[in-house]
Amino acid sequence: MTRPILEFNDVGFGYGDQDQVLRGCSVSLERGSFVVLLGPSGCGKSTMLRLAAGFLRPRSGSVLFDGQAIHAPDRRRILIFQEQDQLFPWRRLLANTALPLMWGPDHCQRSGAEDRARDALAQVGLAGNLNDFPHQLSGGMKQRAVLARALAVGAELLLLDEPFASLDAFSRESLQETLVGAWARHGSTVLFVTHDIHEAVRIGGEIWFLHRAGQPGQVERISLPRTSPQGVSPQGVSPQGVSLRDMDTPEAIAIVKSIRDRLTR
Amino acid sequence: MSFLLIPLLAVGWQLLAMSGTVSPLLVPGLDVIIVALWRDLSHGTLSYQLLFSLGLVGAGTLLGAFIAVVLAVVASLGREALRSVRLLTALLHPLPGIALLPLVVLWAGTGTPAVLLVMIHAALWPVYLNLQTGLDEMPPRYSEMTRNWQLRRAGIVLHVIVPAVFPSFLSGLRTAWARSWRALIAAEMVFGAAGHFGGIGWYLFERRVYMDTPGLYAGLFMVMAAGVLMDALLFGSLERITARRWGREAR
Repeated sequence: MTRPILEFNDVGFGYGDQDQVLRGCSVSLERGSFVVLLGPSGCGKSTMLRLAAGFLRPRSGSVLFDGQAIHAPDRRRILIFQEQDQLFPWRRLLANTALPLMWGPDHCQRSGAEDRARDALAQVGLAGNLNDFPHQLSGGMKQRAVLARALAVGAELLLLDEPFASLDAFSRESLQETLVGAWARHGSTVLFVTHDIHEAVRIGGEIWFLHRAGQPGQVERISLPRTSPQGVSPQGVSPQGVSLRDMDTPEAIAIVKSIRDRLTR
Repeated sequence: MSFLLIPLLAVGWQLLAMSGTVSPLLVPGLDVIIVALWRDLSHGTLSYQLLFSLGLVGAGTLLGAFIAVVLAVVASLGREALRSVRLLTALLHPLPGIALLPLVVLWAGTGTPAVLLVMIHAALWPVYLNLQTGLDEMPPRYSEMTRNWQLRRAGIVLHVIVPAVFPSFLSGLRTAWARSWRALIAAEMVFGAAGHFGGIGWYLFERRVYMDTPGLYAGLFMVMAAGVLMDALLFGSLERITARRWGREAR
């Protein structure tokens, strides 16, 4: 059995003097999986992502990446947020994507960095927008670019904090497909936070339901077999081999209902 | 309709001068002013004095801006450093340059260094305040992203911080130039001739002493023209280019 890429071991965390947001949180993420973190507002979803990214340190317990304790942010674990302020407005799209490659630990030459950036942007459907400034792009295109940049950097673990929440329904669905396609192609691991049950069921291979009332940090794992990541090789699988869940099927409707029941419980 | 304002003012001025109701020493005709302007530009020292003043104001503004950048770097070293620089700014920024003149005369005499000191004071604080605002308003996400990518410090400074604060810096420089220009003319009129011919302020002072009212108006016209040209052509264009590239609305 391979070692989990991410492990929360009895993690406790709180902001300042406030009550603990997470208490005794233990859960592990398998390499190559696509997990959606779902739960009511304030249950600690974003906190878990920031702990995994290394922007926060646990009060108690430990968070491990590839078996090692996380001490600081690292480009192998890229955190992606909602649309705002993730692209530098003064840089064209290609330059925005190439920046972390040229000035990060990779020390890439400009031409090499731009080649990688060009490839990544093409994979998310932005091959024709390399010379655009961010203000010339729609919200959905900006998020595609942010995803492309994370892929170009070679992130092993993508930590997405409600990345499509501010997009219209059409852009959101299209981006969900792009994300799942990129995940399948690259063999990276995804931990995706959302408060949208439909989105969670549509894209997730597994849902981690994070409880709030009385049991902060308790994770209930709900497996969604049809887009299960089991069998995904480290090299990834063809994006054609992965499909998003059809939300009109009785099975999907039943899953949504059971999760909604948990939320209102 | 605003473009009609200048011709209307000129016509009104000329009519007033020709009516004979006001002494030509107070309101000379435009023709006399234009002749004086041409005389002093082509045969006199006005053009040299204007260029001298512009050179001085450029040097003063750039020196002030440089010190402002140093202050911003110092302020970024820690919370106490930021508090100290903010306190210094709060104390010195409201102090008018003209109030410093007696002290400046004691420290630096009445030559070019004295004028430069006054201009540095005029330019430094607006540039620093704008720079600090730019830094304060930089989205916190930029810092998170650069930490996440493990970007090298040089990359962060060159490709994130400098471009992020550039529009604020430019807007501070624009205010600084305008304030330096005013401070310069006031200082030149008080200190007398700096350099070989003195600057435009000294020119105005001399015209007043000789009761050369047309020359005085010609000098004032050049002060306004230089101000408008620098503001609109240089800073206006730079801000427009930056705004377009940064995807913002130009002012």
